[in-house]
Amino acid sequence: MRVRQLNAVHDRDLEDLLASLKIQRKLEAGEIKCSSCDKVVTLDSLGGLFFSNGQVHAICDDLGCIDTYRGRGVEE
Amino acid sequence: MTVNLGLGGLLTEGAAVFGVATMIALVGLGIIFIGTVYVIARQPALAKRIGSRLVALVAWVNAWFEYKAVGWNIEGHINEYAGRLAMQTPGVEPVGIEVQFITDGQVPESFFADGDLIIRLRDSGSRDENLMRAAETYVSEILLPRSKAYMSPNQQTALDVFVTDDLLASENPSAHTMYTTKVLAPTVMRSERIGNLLKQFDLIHYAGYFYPILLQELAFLSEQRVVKSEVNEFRHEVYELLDFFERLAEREEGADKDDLSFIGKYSRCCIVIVARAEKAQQGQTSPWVNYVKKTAGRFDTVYLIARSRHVPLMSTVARAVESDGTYKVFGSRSYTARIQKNGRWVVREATVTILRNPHPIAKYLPSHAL
Repeated sequence: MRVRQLNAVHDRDLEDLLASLKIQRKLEAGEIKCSSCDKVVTLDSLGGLFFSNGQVHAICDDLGCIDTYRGRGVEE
Repeated sequence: MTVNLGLGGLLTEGAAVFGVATMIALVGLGIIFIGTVYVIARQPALAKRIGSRLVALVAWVNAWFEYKAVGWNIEGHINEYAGRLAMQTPGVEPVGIEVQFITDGQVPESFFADGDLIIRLRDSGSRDENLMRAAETYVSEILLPRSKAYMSPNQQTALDVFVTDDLLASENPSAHTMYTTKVLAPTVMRSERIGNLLKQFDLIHYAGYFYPILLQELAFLSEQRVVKSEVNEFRHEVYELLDFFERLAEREEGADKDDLSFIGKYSRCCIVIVARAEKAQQGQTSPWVNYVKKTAGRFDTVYLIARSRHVPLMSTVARAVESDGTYKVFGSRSYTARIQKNGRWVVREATVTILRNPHPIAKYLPSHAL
């Protein structure tokens, strides 16, 4: 069976990762918004991270936001 | 007291008891070892789920145990489902999952190059939530990626939500409940169209057609090249295809077979039910062979469906049309079907054999030929 790798960060390594991506302070200051729903992302509500156009983007832990990240979601 | 064990000497009673106990323990350990190796070799997904539970008990000892407790739980459940999905849908390549943890802030190059998503996973105590998040990411990435690329956002979301819901329902009831309240219900409340698509999928799945036939037909859509000006037409046709399968699912047993074909621009398929009892009992294959041969040049896929007792007959029909090059046997799958009979659902064990046109026509057919 072919295997797809799922990149993940465990809670215990989260702060190290945020520090290496240089977004920890912005996140703590409430300056980072979810790329899908535009809500402020906190350390507690962070659901995922991706890189686009030279910048690191965050997604909140609302599961529907992953769909929007993939260009899907809901049509009106 | 001494005991003569016939081993060339006399032992005390205590030593004999100790020796026998040691032998039993060694045999027991041997059985456990062989059993463990057997489970790991034959049921790797189950082994990971059990292993996940065991290492979670000692997760406090070392970070490695914690990563394995979280990762193996996800891999065990999802890989089990991936195997079943491949069993049910011949054209869907089985793709498993491997959780790769980013440690010490070491971000992989692919993150910057491909825009890969890094999902956040909680500790091993949050098994349900972690599984739910991984399942959603997994399904959205591996389920028909090429076909979904042209579908509408509603169609893509409905497919992903339905399959993720089914994955969690079969693998972990508490994660499924969490998914229902956090994702499925809010999605349905946001969009009437997605709700209607999910209801269609429910009915098609209940009748047994979702995985072996509908997903297969959607997988074949990946062979189509769709240009920008055709995207809306493509999406409309996907809706029509779903309507076709909904009508098929609602069909009464023995009903007229006129409505068993779908002719679109991107999908051209028909269902042939090998079921006429009197002909089947006589072993007559010619009615079906002739019927299938007559469809040549009009369809890209023919789904032969038969109840268990007619499977040998169906196989003979499939071989006959394959031998003269009309169609190629793409795959065959057994499934539990439900069909309406006198207004009630009855269960039938069935098999579908997929015949594929070796020279698909839908892709190259001029639109005026429809």
